[in-house]
Amino acid sequence: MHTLIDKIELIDNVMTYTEVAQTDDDVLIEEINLNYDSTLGQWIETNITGLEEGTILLEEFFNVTPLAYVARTTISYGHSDLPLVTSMGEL
Amino acid sequence: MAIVIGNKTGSQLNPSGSTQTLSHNMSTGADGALLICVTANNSGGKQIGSCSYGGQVMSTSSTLNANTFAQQQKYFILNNPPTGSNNIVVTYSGGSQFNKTSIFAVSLTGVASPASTTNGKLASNATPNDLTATGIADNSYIFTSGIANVAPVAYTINGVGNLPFQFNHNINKRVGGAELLLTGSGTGFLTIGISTACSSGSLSNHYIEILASGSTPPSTNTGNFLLCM
Repeated sequence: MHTLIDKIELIDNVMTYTEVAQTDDDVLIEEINLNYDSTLGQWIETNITGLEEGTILLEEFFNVTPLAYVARTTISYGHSDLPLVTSMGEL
Repeated sequence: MAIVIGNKTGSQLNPSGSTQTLSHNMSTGADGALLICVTANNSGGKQIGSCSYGGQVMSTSSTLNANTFAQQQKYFILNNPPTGSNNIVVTYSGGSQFNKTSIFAVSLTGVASPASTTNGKLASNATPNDLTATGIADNSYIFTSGIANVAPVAYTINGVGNLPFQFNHNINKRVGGAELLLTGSGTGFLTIGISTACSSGSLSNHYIEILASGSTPPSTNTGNFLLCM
């Protein structure tokens, strides 16, 4: 089982996930997801009503923080096109 | 032909309002089929809309509205999908979807077309939530998913207990799933059970049967009949 690392950016006003790497390193997965939860994840949770109503726009987050990473997709196969990484520095 | 279980992908990510895209690598083999289980918040009238794979629209095989948990769950199936790496695209309707969702995809080969005729669900029941499935064919693939406030801790299908979780997602509610490949001749019915560690907790149970290529479901007619000779 591998975990994919997604880069998250706002492209044409759509929050776009791009798979950039894969990892088997539990420490790296936790680091990425803790960072996501304390930034974009928390911002979405705090503003979810405004986002659903359209009174808050995703660009309000991404204008300040252009990109985020998340590691919450698991695959049972090796992804042949993605590098296997063990640290944030490799992203 | 026996069903063979192939590649699996599971994700718990926040969509961007109306769509969600991720890749899955469909396994190669004869009589392929892709099963996808999508679970998402349904408060305020939000719905899981369509699901496509490699640009092909998938069929909605079963829908569960687990309103106790403010979640909707759908099973989507596509016979003979394109093999290799392609995108799953899920759309949401009835309101913008930004809540974290659960998506699980499993590649199967050796599957009948159409892939499924049987499914069942019980949206909320005190633990354990057991269902009896009838009309189950030999050599079928059974998949079931539970939604609960706390994680379902045990899946039992056809008497086989402690099945490993195929996914275990935290999307404010806990969503998980388990699978069993039936072998040999069965009785046409089986029990599908999910339980939580919390004795007072309620949970949903939503299963689907995928038929093996060449198999036919047994008759579910158990009534009396008169044979004239």
